[in-house]
Amino acid sequence: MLVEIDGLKRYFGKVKAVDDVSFSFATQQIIGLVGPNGAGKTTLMRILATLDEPTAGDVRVDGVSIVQYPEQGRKLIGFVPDSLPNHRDISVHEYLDFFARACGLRGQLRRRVVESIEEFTNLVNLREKNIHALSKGMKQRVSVARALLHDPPILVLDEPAAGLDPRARIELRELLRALCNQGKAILVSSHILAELEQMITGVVILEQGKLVRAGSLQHILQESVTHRVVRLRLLESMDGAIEKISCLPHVETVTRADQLLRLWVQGGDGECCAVLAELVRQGFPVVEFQIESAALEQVFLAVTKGEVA
Amino acid sequence: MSSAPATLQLAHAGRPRSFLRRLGEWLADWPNPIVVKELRQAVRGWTALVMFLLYLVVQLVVVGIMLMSVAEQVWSESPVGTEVFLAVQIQLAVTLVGLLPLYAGARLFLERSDVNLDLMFITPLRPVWLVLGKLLAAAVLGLLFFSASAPVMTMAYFLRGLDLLYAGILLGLDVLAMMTAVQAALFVAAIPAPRAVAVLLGVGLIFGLIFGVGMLASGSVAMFTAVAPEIVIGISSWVALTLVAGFVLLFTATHALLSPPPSNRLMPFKIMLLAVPVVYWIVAGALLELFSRLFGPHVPPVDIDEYLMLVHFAERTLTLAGWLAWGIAVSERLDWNRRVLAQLPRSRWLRVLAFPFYTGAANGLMLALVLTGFSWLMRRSLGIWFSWSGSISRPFYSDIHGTWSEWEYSAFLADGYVIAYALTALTLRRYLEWQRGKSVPGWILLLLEVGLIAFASLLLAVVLALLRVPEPMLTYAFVLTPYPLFEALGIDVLFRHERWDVYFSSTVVVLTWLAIVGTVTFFWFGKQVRRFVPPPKASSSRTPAAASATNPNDREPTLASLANTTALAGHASQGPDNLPG
Repeated sequence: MLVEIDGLKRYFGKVKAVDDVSFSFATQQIIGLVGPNGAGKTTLMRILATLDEPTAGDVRVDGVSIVQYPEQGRKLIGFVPDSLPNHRDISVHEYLDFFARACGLRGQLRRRVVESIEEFTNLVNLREKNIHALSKGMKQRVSVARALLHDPPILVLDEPAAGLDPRARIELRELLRALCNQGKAILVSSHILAELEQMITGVVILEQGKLVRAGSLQHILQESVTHRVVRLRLLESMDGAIEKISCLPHVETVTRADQLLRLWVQGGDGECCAVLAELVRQGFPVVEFQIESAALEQVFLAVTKGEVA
Repeated sequence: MSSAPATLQLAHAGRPRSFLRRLGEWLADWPNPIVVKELRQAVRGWTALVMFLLYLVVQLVVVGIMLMSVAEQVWSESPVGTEVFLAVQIQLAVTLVGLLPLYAGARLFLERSDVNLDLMFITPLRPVWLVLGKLLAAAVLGLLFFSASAPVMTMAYFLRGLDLLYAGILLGLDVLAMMTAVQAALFVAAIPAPRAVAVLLGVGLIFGLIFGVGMLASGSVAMFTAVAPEIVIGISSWVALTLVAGFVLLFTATHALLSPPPSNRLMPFKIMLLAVPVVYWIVAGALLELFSRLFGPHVPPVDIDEYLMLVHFAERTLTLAGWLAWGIAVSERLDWNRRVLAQLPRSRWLRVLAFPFYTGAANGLMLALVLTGFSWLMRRSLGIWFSWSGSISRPFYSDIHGTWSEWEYSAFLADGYVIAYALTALTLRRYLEWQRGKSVPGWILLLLEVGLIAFASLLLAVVLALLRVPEPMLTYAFVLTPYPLFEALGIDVLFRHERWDVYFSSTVVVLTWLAIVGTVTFFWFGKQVRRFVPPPKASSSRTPAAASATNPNDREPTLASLANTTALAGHASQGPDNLPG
């Protein structure tokens, strides 16, 4: 199943909330949607969820436009909003039962599916509780459970980890991984980049409504981050090693922490390779040479300016 | 979620089930999901509960006081059943036509609000089920109030004097009024409007409901004081017919508002806009025939004035529908999206018939034309019908059967105004969109046009006043509106042949106006008609049916698809140009 976002635009008067955004993702991928506040993440997700209409552009699932056929999109996409609507007078089980009925599930199948989902999202003990009385994390579980009821192949989650405690975040991460392994295509937005980094297979970065970067984290890293940090350990400490290494081509800075040296290398993997060759050629006893993986935060800071639409 | 199972199994093979078990499951599944949800929430929430308890308390107090005041009559075996029944009836009117619609409308409004949008609107649940569910849930609550009143009504019967026929008619009207009022509230709640406009609409709804309660309550009292049963039956029939017509129109309008914008969502409403007045008129005519045979031709239900009023009403209803079509023509987008075009009939003749019922400004205009044409046709056919039927003695029959009556002329002119207004709005729209480079909301256009015409009329009035023209001549200041026409015709059905000057001036204005805007719009309209064709069959765009036949596994999920996407961004301007309506 392939989701294609093609030239999507959403304008509110003069404000361009989403401005000509195009990317695609597919089954068994978890794509992180990141960007500063006001970048257009929620608007984009609302369009995907058929809650909003684009000013221009299209969203296609396996070639079918969900802008033209929102009814079809609703069968294929499960949407988890950033907050659950405030229901004062309905219990968790009743809420899920209603959505199961609305999705066309009948009889025993409906009961089994609701029970199965409640078990899967660990809501069994909360099923008789009023939704209004639930904590943020619990509500988020209910929201995920609701989105899973019709077993959609695509999941769109808007800030699912916001306001969750560390344990709930880990649980959510594991849940999304499990769903991804089951063959779902997942688009998830979050401000908690370290958290996101641990589960995503690709990232889409928005700023001021425009797509800044899209691709695998490694791919963007190679494109966007202009230097590498290398961990270097020598067999024995050498006098003046830091000074000598600092003078090598491409090396910007060298710092020391106990037996480890950290080198800031200007350029990408090729330049790191050249530095290693030079170290060996100059007779440095290298026992460890490791390029530290750049964090999503690093990528984010490198490609965004912090401006809003 | 840490204890979550590694896989989520949603479908299970169940054991074979007995017939009774399957029947039980079917019964549990049968109700509309919205009804189940609404009733569960009504039971858990406090609003419906408080409303019901309050109703019981008020009923107890009112009936208690009433019984005490008529105690002497009760003991002397004088009939007081009607008074007690009316007390309950008025309370029912307030609850069913006032409070219950407000409750149902408020719930839908809150569910539709942007800040707290209920996700049920993005479920696969069809819009018709949404509207029906809300309606049925309100009907069940209404039934609760009826059942709470049943003991007192029974008691009223035993207190003697209560006419069961009248009581039955009244309870039937209660149900119809409740359903129409609830539907009106749901319609108002479903209108996507900014908060300030929504408040105004809410206030308007409240006033409308108060009016409805007043009409039902006063009508109930009048019914029991009426002398002739044929009057009661006649008036009740017109009221019931009007309520049903209003309900059907409001239902289809609400359904359209809740349907996805890219779909041809106005089609059912447009069909009903045409069908309801026609069916209304046919049923009303048939009822008149029936009453004339049952009660005789000169008794009130088939009184000649009422008969003429019906003709008048039928014309005015269709003209009103024409004005609604003006609103549709203004609100619709100029072009069709891919989805609508894909649904067009392939046969040219079917497309001709379908044209007024599809979305699009040109189609809305066509609907206005069809409706105004029907208003003339209806009058003609009415004349033919009653010339064939000899059951009613009609001294004014010749007027209806005549070739060119004043009514017909006024209806013709009113229709001319409808078309002129619609064409002007479209001309304005095309000009503004050309100037601004983007679409203009329909309600802004409507306000702009009404504002321009009002301004021109006021200006003309000032000029006429400065010229010190005689007072009756001031009517000409409003010649850009149908006001002088209605003023000349009067609100009753009297003929005023002395106002031909008004008809003449209106005719000149309407024909000139139509000639100007018709010329400006003619080529655009022709272009739209030519563009109203379905896309070729071998289209590159895929339909949902084609997609479902595709094996998802045919596409290997690789990051390459994501990595290649930046290339897509460069071609964004080549994206789809037909946008949802």
